[in-house]
Amino acid sequence: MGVSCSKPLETAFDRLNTFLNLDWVTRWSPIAKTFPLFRLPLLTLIEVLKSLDPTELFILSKCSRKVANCVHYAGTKKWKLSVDVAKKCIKINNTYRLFIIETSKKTSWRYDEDSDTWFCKSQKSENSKFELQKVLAQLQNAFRCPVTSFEHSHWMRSDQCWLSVLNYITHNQIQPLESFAICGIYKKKDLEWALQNVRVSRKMNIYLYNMPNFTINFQPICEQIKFFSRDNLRLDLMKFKSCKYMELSLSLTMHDLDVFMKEWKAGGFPSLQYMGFSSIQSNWVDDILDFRKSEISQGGVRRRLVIDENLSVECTGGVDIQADNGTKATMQMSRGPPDWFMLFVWND
Amino acid sequence: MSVENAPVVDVDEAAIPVEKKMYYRFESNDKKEFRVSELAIQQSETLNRLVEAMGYTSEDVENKPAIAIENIDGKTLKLVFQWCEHHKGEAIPVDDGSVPKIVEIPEFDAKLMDIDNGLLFKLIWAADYLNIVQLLNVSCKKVANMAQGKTPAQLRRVYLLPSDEEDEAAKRAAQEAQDPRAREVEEEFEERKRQGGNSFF
Repeated sequence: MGVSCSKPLETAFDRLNTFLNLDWVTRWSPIAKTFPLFRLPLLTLIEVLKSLDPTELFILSKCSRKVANCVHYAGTKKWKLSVDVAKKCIKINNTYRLFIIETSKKTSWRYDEDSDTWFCKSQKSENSKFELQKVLAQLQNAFRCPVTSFEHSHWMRSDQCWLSVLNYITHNQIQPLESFAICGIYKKKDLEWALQNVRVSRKMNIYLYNMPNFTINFQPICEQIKFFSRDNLRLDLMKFKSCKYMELSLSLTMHDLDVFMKEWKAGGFPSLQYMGFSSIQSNWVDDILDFRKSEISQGGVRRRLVIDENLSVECTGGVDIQADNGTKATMQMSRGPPDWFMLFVWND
Repeated sequence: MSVENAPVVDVDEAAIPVEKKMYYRFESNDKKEFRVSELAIQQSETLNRLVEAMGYTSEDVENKPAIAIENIDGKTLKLVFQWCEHHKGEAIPVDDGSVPKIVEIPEFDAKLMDIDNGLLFKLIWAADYLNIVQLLNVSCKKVANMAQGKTPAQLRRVYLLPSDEEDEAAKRAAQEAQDPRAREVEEEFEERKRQGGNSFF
């Protein structure tokens, strides 16, 4: 059997064929338009799976449990999932989109070629709001890859789906999210649970509305954080020591900023490169590190601080300061309302 | 023994270049013979290693029996060697690990693979067996393209994939065929459970 040639080579081939079970005479008789995919040799099957795009691979995984257990052979473990709860959309590798749409009919799948998007029309039921979570679980089971991005925005307090999906993610993967973004009106206990339980390595964007007198106790471990609230929301900045980049819009006083800057000067924020802060309160009359507001708000040389390849900020004046460990920085403030404060920490 | 004179190789002696390129002779499992240039053989890692190990001279090629490839029939082998001749001298692609894999099917390959799925299946097996990387890439891409825009139910039909229920039924049938007593024991156990017994024994 196999390629025949000289005797020793022939023997070697025979052994190889026996080992690899290359007796591949198939009893399959071809029917037009069908192809027995799982009768291909394993490595060839993997090549076919690798040529399928993520949504095709996912749809394939829905064929049966047996198939679902195979699709990760394509190397899907290194893929990333992004979840947008409000849009009921899951993006695979930030490119391939899958929307979940509620319908009164039986669950079906539709592919829109123009937008290169899959639509899962799920039958409306009592638990239909958790359909997104179900599809996410199926995706993770098939691809065995993590969710890296979570996004949600909503304006109705009754929506619990986001919390359920977030709960599912935090309990089903070890890796922290790379980015987390929420925007809207949230129940206090839901928000507290989310901020205390979600782990984010890179970026958190939190925009809160209509949450008066809310105090939150959480310690972000992410590199970048943007936290905006239109209400009287208080945060303990001393817990933000892991952050490299902070943009905050909260109710802080100049005294709070002075305390923060003293801590920075003592080396309490070793990772910090930039902090931008704006306040809804206008009582900024105190000094910060013994500098008057008029000094901090003066104009000067334009300098650009590069945080990473996608992010940079511009300094247009202010006062130069130095931490106890020699790190140089610049504090800058607005000259009039709206009040804002920025700290630029200069690398070499 | 019939000689396959298809576009695979021009067997006209006059057409053989002056520098005397070596043309190897291969025979399919249905005794069809093909002449393939040395350069075309390089597309197949398996055949390339084989001919290197054999160290044939031009005389050996003519005088010794054709190299038999007993796993592949003439129809499939013709396609394989046509592909190799067309792509001779091209670099063997290296997998860059990207998924999904970016594979373009050139016009020649698309025409070559405009065949029924039975023959495509054999072609893929042959490309895998002979380790022809780029032929495997394009043929696998062709199979992958069959999934475009299809629903799970349609994919089950296209790729002949059994559903969970069919898998279960096949598994049960296999178990029963292996041990008919197992089913009886299972039924007895279920019956006792219905009667409220705590222990089977």
